[in-house]
Amino acid sequence: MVLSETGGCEHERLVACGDRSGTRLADWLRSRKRVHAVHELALMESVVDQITGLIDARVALVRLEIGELAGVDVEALRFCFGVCTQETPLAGAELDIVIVHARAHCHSCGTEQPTRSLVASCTCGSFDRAIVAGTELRLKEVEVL
Amino acid sequence: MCRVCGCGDEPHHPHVHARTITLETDLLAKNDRLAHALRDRLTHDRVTALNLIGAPGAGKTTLLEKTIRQLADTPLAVIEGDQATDYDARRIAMTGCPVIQVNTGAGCHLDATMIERGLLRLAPAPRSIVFIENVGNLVCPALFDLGERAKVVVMSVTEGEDKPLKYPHVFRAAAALVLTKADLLPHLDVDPAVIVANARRVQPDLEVFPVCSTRGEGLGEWCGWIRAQMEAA
Repeated sequence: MVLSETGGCEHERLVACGDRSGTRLADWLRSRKRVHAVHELALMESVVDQITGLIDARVALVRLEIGELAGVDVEALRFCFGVCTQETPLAGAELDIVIVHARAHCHSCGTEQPTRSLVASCTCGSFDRAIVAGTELRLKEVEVL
Repeated sequence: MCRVCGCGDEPHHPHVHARTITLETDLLAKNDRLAHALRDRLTHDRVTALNLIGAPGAGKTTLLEKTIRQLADTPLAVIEGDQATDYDARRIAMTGCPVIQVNTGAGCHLDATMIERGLLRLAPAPRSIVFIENVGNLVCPALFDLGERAKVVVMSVTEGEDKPLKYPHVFRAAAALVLTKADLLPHLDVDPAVIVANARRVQPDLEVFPVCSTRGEGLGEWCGWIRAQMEAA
Protein backbone atom coordinates (compact mmCIF):
# COMPACT_ATOMS: atom_id res chain seq x y z
CA MET A 1 0.00 0.00 0.00
CA VAL A 2 1.42 3.39 -0.95
CA LEU A 3 0.52 6.58 0.85
CA SER A 4 1.47 9.41 -1.43
CA GLU A 5 2.30 12.75 0.11
CA THR A 6 2.87 14.46 -3.23
CA GLY A 7 -0.74 15.59 -3.52
CA GLY A 8 -0.78 16.61 0.13
CA CYS A 9 -1.01 19.95 1.78
CA GLU A 10 2.54 21.12 1.48
CA HIS A 11 3.07 21.18 -2.25
CA GLU A 12 -0.53 21.69 -3.19
CA ARG A 13 -0.92 24.83 -1.13
CA LEU A 14 2.41 26.24 -2.13
CA VAL A 15 1.85 25.63 -5.81
CA ALA A 16 -1.56 27.21 -5.50
CA CYS A 17 -0.17 30.34 -3.90
CA GLY A 18 2.98 30.41 -5.97
CA ASP A 19 1.17 30.32 -9.33
CA ARG A 20 3.95 28.60 -11.13
CA SER A 21 1.74 27.00 -13.75
CA GLY A 22 1.96 23.37 -12.84
CA THR A 23 5.57 23.35 -11.72
CA ARG A 24 5.80 21.47 -8.46
CA LEU A 25 6.98 24.01 -5.97
CA ALA A 26 9.64 21.84 -4.41
CA ASP A 27 11.13 21.25 -7.87
CA TRP A 28 11.07 24.94 -8.47
CA LEU A 29 12.66 25.51 -5.08
CA ARG A 30 15.28 22.99 -5.89
CA SER A 31 16.16 24.83 -9.07
CA ARG A 32 16.67 28.00 -7.05
CA LYS A 33 18.32 26.63 -3.94
CA ARG A 34 20.08 23.46 -3.10
CA VAL A 35 17.93 20.47 -2.24
CA HIS A 36 18.57 20.78 1.51
CA ALA A 37 16.28 23.80 1.51
CA VAL A 38 13.39 21.40 1.85
CA HIS A 39 13.37 20.89 5.61
CA GLU A 40 13.53 24.65 6.04
CA LEU A 41 10.42 24.67 3.84
CA ALA A 42 8.63 22.34 6.27
CA LEU A 43 9.72 24.48 9.22
CA MET A 44 8.48 27.66 7.58
CA GLU A 45 5.17 26.01 6.71
CA SER A 46 4.85 25.20 10.39
CA VAL A 47 5.56 28.83 11.34
CA VAL A 48 2.89 30.13 8.96
CA ASP A 49 0.36 27.51 10.14
CA GLN A 50 0.97 28.34 13.80
CA ILE A 51 0.62 32.07 13.30
CA THR A 52 -2.44 31.95 11.06
CA GLY A 53 -4.03 29.48 13.48
CA LEU A 54 -3.56 31.82 16.44
CA ILE A 55 -3.82 35.32 15.05
CA ASP A 56 -6.51 36.86 12.93
CA ALA A 57 -4.73 40.04 11.83
CA ARG A 58 -2.23 41.26 9.32
CA VAL A 59 1.27 40.40 10.43
CA ALA A 60 4.02 42.99 10.03
CA LEU A 61 6.94 41.11 11.53
CA VAL A 62 7.83 37.57 12.58
CA ARG A 63 10.69 37.09 14.99
CA LEU A 64 12.41 33.70 15.25
CA GLU A 65 15.20 32.56 17.53
CA ILE A 66 17.49 30.15 15.75
CA GLY A 67 20.41 28.48 17.46
CA GLU A 68 23.61 28.52 15.46
CA LEU A 69 23.82 24.74 15.90
CA ALA A 70 20.13 24.04 15.23
CA GLY A 71 20.88 22.39 11.91
CA VAL A 72 19.01 24.83 9.70
CA ASP A 73 20.22 27.19 7.03
CA VAL A 74 19.09 30.71 7.88
CA GLU A 75 19.25 31.90 4.28
CA ALA A 76 17.09 28.96 3.23
CA LEU A 77 14.62 29.86 6.00
CA ARG A 78 14.43 33.42 4.68
CA PHE A 79 13.85 32.19 1.17
CA CYS A 80 11.11 29.79 2.30
CA PHE A 81 9.45 32.53 4.37
CA GLY A 82 8.87 34.54 1.21
CA VAL A 83 7.38 31.51 -0.52
CA CYS A 84 5.22 30.27 2.36
CA THR A 85 3.70 33.63 3.28
CA GLN A 86 2.35 34.46 -0.18
CA GLU A 87 -1.39 35.08 -0.13
CA THR A 88 -1.57 34.67 3.64
CA PRO A 89 -2.01 37.40 6.32
CA LEU A 90 1.78 37.24 6.61
CA ALA A 91 2.42 38.33 3.03
CA GLY A 92 4.98 41.11 2.93
CA ALA A 93 5.86 40.70 6.62
CA GLU A 94 9.42 41.18 7.73
CA LEU A 95 11.33 38.19 9.06
CA ASP A 96 13.70 38.88 11.92
CA ILE A 97 15.97 35.98 12.79
CA VAL A 98 17.82 36.27 16.10
CA ILE A 99 20.80 33.94 16.16
CA VAL A 100 21.41 32.25 19.52
CA HIS A 101 25.06 31.55 20.15
CA ALA A 102 25.93 28.06 21.29
CA ARG A 103 27.20 27.14 24.73
CA ALA A 104 28.25 23.78 26.13
CA HIS A 105 28.48 22.47 29.68
CA CYS A 106 31.45 20.17 30.17
CA HIS A 107 30.79 17.15 32.37
CA SER A 108 34.52 16.67 32.97
CA CYS A 109 35.63 20.10 34.21
CA GLY A 110 32.20 21.49 35.07
CA THR A 111 32.56 24.74 33.14
CA GLU A 112 30.18 26.27 30.64
CA GLN A 113 31.79 27.76 27.57
CA PRO A 114 30.89 29.09 24.14
CA THR A 115 31.20 26.49 21.40
CA ARG A 116 31.04 26.67 17.63
CA SER A 117 30.33 23.03 16.91
CA LEU A 118 28.48 19.95 18.16
CA VAL A 119 31.70 17.99 17.89
CA ALA A 120 34.30 20.34 19.34
CA SER A 121 36.03 19.45 22.58
CA CYS A 122 36.04 21.54 25.74
CA THR A 123 39.16 23.61 26.42
CA CYS A 124 40.01 20.91 29.01
CA GLY A 125 40.14 18.38 26.15
CA SER A 126 36.97 16.45 27.02
CA PHE A 127 34.23 15.64 24.50
CA ASP A 128 31.78 14.79 27.26
CA ARG A 129 29.74 17.95 26.93
CA ALA A 130 26.08 18.89 26.83
CA ILE A 131 24.97 21.65 24.49
CA VAL A 132 22.99 24.01 26.73
CA ALA A 133 22.22 26.73 24.16
CA GLY A 134 22.38 27.06 20.41
CA THR A 135 19.92 24.43 19.20
CA GLU A 136 16.81 26.64 19.51
CA LEU A 137 14.17 26.69 16.79
CA ARG A 138 11.70 29.10 18.36
CA LEU A 139 8.88 31.25 17.14
CA LYS A 140 9.46 34.14 19.51
CA GLU A 141 6.86 36.79 18.68
CA VAL A 142 4.98 38.54 15.94
CA GLU A 143 4.03 42.15 15.39
CA VAL A 144 0.51 42.64 14.04
CA LEU A 145 -1.13 45.70 12.54
CA MET B 1 6.17 62.83 20.20
CA CYS B 2 4.13 59.69 19.78
CA ARG B 3 4.07 57.88 23.15
CA VAL B 4 3.75 54.46 21.58
CA CYS B 5 6.56 54.37 19.07
CA GLY B 6 8.49 57.51 19.88
CA CYS B 7 8.51 58.40 16.21
CA GLY B 8 8.33 62.14 16.68
CA ASP B 9 4.86 62.57 15.15
CA GLU B 10 1.88 64.02 16.99
CA PRO B 11 -0.15 61.56 19.16
CA HIS B 12 -2.85 61.20 16.46
CA HIS B 13 -0.54 60.59 13.52
CA PRO B 14 -1.87 58.49 10.64
CA HIS B 15 0.42 55.48 10.68
CA VAL B 16 -0.70 52.28 12.38
CA HIS B 17 1.29 51.02 15.31
CA ALA B 18 2.27 47.40 15.36
CA ARG B 19 1.30 45.38 18.42
CA THR B 20 3.66 42.67 19.59
CA ILE B 21 2.26 39.25 20.43
CA THR B 22 4.61 36.94 22.28
CA LEU B 23 4.32 33.33 21.16
CA GLU B 24 7.42 31.53 22.48
CA THR B 25 6.64 28.26 20.75
CA ASP B 26 8.86 25.78 19.06
CA LEU B 27 8.98 25.85 15.27
CA LEU B 28 8.35 22.14 15.34
CA ALA B 29 5.55 22.39 17.93
CA LYS B 30 2.87 20.91 15.69
CA ASN B 31 4.96 17.93 14.68
CA ASP B 32 6.22 17.43 18.23
CA ARG B 33 2.72 17.49 19.73
CA LEU B 34 1.56 14.79 17.37
CA ALA B 35 4.77 12.81 17.91
CA HIS B 36 4.25 12.91 21.70
CA ALA B 37 0.68 11.69 21.27
CA LEU B 38 1.88 8.87 19.03
CA ARG B 39 4.58 7.94 21.55
CA ASP B 40 1.99 7.78 24.35
CA ARG B 41 -0.27 5.60 22.23
CA LEU B 42 2.59 3.28 21.20
CA THR B 43 3.87 3.02 24.78
CA HIS B 44 0.36 2.22 25.99
CA ASP B 45 0.13 -0.62 23.46
CA ARG B 46 3.73 -1.65 24.20
CA VAL B 47 4.62 -1.16 20.55
CA THR B 48 8.31 -0.38 20.01
CA ALA B 49 8.92 1.96 17.08
CA LEU B 50 12.45 2.37 15.75
CA ASN B 51 13.28 5.15 13.29
CA LEU B 52 16.06 4.04 10.92
CA ILE B 53 17.92 6.95 9.36
CA GLY B 54 20.76 6.72 6.86
CA ALA B 55 22.10 8.02 3.57
CA PRO B 56 20.79 6.53 0.31
CA GLY B 57 22.59 3.25 -0.25
CA ALA B 58 23.62 2.77 3.38
CA GLY B 59 21.89 -0.60 3.38
CA LYS B 60 18.78 0.22 5.38
CA THR B 61 16.39 -2.00 3.46
CA THR B 62 18.78 -4.97 3.30
CA LEU B 63 19.38 -4.64 7.06
CA LEU B 64 15.61 -4.61 7.59
CA GLU B 65 15.01 -7.66 5.40
CA LYS B 66 17.58 -9.66 7.38
CA THR B 67 16.44 -8.27 10.74
CA ILE B 68 12.85 -9.27 10.01
CA ARG B 69 13.99 -12.85 9.33
CA GLN B 70 16.01 -12.90 12.58
CA LEU B 71 13.03 -11.67 14.58
CA ALA B 72 10.61 -14.18 13.04
CA ASP B 73 9.12 -14.96 16.48
CA THR B 74 8.07 -11.34 17.06
CA PRO B 75 5.13 -9.45 15.51
CA LEU B 76 6.62 -6.80 13.23
CA ALA B 77 5.48 -4.09 10.85
CA VAL B 78 7.34 -1.67 8.62
CA ILE B 79 6.71 1.87 7.42
CA GLU B 80 8.87 2.55 4.36
CA GLY B 81 9.65 6.15 3.50
CA ASP B 82 10.94 7.08 0.07
CA GLN B 83 10.55 10.04 -2.21
CA ALA B 84 9.17 7.80 -4.95
CA THR B 85 8.39 4.17 -5.85
CA ASP B 86 7.30 1.24 -3.71
CA TYR B 87 10.38 -0.87 -4.49
CA ASP B 88 11.47 -1.04 -0.86
CA ALA B 89 7.98 -1.92 0.37
CA ARG B 90 7.85 -4.75 -2.17
CA ARG B 91 11.18 -6.07 -0.90
CA ILE B 92 9.87 -6.00 2.68
CA ALA B 93 6.56 -7.58 1.62
CA MET B 94 8.55 -10.53 0.23
CA THR B 95 9.56 -11.37 3.81
CA GLY B 96 5.87 -11.65 4.75
CA CYS B 97 6.01 -8.67 7.08
CA PRO B 98 3.13 -6.14 6.96
CA VAL B 99 4.44 -3.00 5.30
CA ILE B 100 3.21 0.35 4.15
CA GLN B 101 5.03 2.65 1.76
CA VAL B 102 4.92 6.40 2.31
CA ASN B 103 6.06 8.45 -0.68
CA THR B 104 7.09 11.94 0.30
CA GLY B 105 7.45 13.27 -3.25
CA ALA B 106 10.06 16.00 -3.10
CA GLY B 107 9.91 15.90 0.73
CA CYS B 108 13.21 14.96 2.33
CA HIS B 109 11.97 13.35 5.55
CA LEU B 110 9.04 11.60 7.19
CA ASP B 111 7.01 13.61 9.69
CA ALA B 112 4.65 12.60 12.49
CA THR B 113 1.52 13.06 10.33
CA MET B 114 2.79 10.48 7.85
CA ILE B 115 3.53 8.05 10.69
CA GLU B 116 0.09 8.59 12.19
CA ARG B 117 -1.52 7.70 8.86
CA GLY B 118 0.82 4.74 8.38
CA LEU B 119 0.05 3.39 11.86
CA LEU B 120 -3.69 3.73 11.25
CA ARG B 121 -3.43 1.48 8.21
CA LEU B 122 -0.93 -0.95 9.74
CA ALA B 123 -2.67 -1.25 13.13
CA PRO B 124 0.37 -2.87 14.78
CA ALA B 125 -0.36 -5.61 17.32
CA PRO B 126 0.34 -4.99 21.03
CA ARG B 127 3.91 -5.95 21.97
CA SER B 128 5.10 -5.63 18.37
CA ILE B 129 7.94 -3.74 16.73
CA VAL B 130 7.41 -1.11 14.06
CA PHE B 131 10.43 -0.27 11.95
CA ILE B 132 10.29 3.10 10.25
CA GLU B 133 12.73 3.35 7.36
CA ASN B 134 13.19 7.07 6.86
CA VAL B 135 13.91 8.75 3.53
CA GLY B 136 17.60 8.32 2.60
CA ASN B 137 19.02 11.52 4.08
CA LEU B 138 21.26 12.31 7.06
CA VAL B 139 20.19 15.93 7.49
CA CYS B 140 16.46 16.57 7.72
CA PRO B 141 15.18 13.39 9.45
CA ALA B 142 17.30 14.26 12.50
CA LEU B 143 14.98 17.18 13.33
CA PHE B 144 11.64 15.40 13.10
CA ASP B 145 10.32 13.42 16.04
CA LEU B 146 8.11 10.58 14.77
CA GLY B 147 7.05 9.31 18.18
CA GLU B 148 9.63 6.53 17.93
CA ARG B 149 11.28 4.87 20.92
CA ALA B 150 14.72 5.45 19.39
CA LYS B 151 16.43 6.76 16.31
CA VAL B 152 19.00 4.44 14.79
CA VAL B 153 21.63 5.64 12.33
CA VAL B 154 22.43 3.12 9.60
CA MET B 155 25.80 3.88 8.03
CA SER B 156 27.97 1.74 5.81
CA VAL B 157 31.68 1.49 6.49
CA THR B 158 32.30 2.75 2.93
CA GLU B 159 30.93 6.16 3.93
CA GLY B 160 34.18 7.03 5.70
CA GLU B 161 35.54 7.76 9.14
CA ASP B 162 34.51 11.41 9.29
CA LYS B 163 30.80 10.97 8.56
CA PRO B 164 29.68 11.40 12.20
CA LEU B 165 31.54 14.72 12.35
CA LYS B 166 30.09 15.92 9.05
CA TYR B 167 26.51 15.07 10.06
CA PRO B 168 26.56 15.49 13.85
CA HIS B 169 22.86 16.26 14.30
CA VAL B 170 21.64 12.84 13.33
CA PHE B 171 24.25 11.07 15.45
CA ARG B 172 23.41 13.31 18.38
CA ALA B 173 19.74 12.32 18.11
CA ALA B 174 20.42 8.59 17.81
CA ALA B 175 20.55 5.85 20.44
CA ALA B 176 22.31 3.32 18.21
CA LEU B 177 24.52 3.10 15.13
CA VAL B 178 24.46 0.09 12.82
CA LEU B 179 27.67 -0.05 10.78
CA THR B 180 26.72 -1.99 7.68
CA LYS B 181 28.83 -3.70 4.99
CA ALA B 182 31.48 -4.52 7.62
CA ASP B 183 32.70 -7.37 5.35
CA LEU B 184 34.14 -4.72 3.00
CA LEU B 185 36.57 -3.42 5.63
CA PRO B 186 39.57 -5.44 4.35
CA HIS B 187 39.23 -3.60 1.02
CA LEU B 188 38.98 -0.12 2.54
CA ASP B 189 41.31 2.37 4.12
CA VAL B 190 38.80 2.85 6.93
CA ASP B 191 39.26 2.10 10.63
CA PRO B 192 35.89 1.28 12.22
CA ALA B 193 37.30 2.27 15.63
CA VAL B 194 37.74 5.82 14.29
CA ILE B 195 34.15 5.88 13.04
CA VAL B 196 32.95 4.81 16.49
CA ALA B 197 35.21 7.29 18.28
CA ASN B 198 33.95 10.12 16.07
CA ALA B 199 30.33 9.07 16.59
CA ARG B 200 30.80 8.97 20.37
CA ARG B 201 32.34 12.44 20.31
CA VAL B 202 28.86 13.56 19.28
CA GLN B 203 26.85 11.04 21.28
CA PRO B 204 28.84 9.39 24.10
CA ASP B 205 26.07 6.88 24.90
CA LEU B 206 25.73 5.56 21.34
CA GLU B 207 25.43 1.77 21.04
CA VAL B 208 27.29 0.46 17.99
CA PHE B 209 26.57 -2.70 15.99
CA PRO B 210 28.90 -3.62 13.13
CA VAL B 211 27.03 -5.96 10.79
CA CYS B 212 27.24 -7.64 7.45
CA SER B 213 23.58 -7.96 6.52
CA THR B 214 24.14 -10.20 3.49
CA ARG B 215 26.13 -12.78 5.49
CA GLY B 216 24.25 -12.31 8.74
CA GLU B 217 27.30 -11.38 10.81
CA GLY B 218 26.56 -9.12 13.77
CA LEU B 219 22.78 -9.39 13.38
CA GLY B 220 22.49 -11.35 16.63
CA GLU B 221 23.82 -8.45 18.73
CA TRP B 222 21.71 -5.91 16.82
CA CYS B 223 18.56 -8.00 17.30
CA GLY B 224 19.45 -8.47 20.97
CA TRP B 225 19.43 -4.70 21.36
CA ILE B 226 16.05 -4.51 19.60
CA ARG B 227 14.64 -7.14 21.98
CA ALA B 228 16.00 -5.18 24.93
CA GLN B 229 14.20 -2.08 23.62
CA MET B 230 11.02 -4.13 23.44
CA GLU B 231 11.40 -5.42 26.98
CA ALA B 232 11.98 -1.88 28.25
CA ALA B 233 8.91 -0.57 26.41
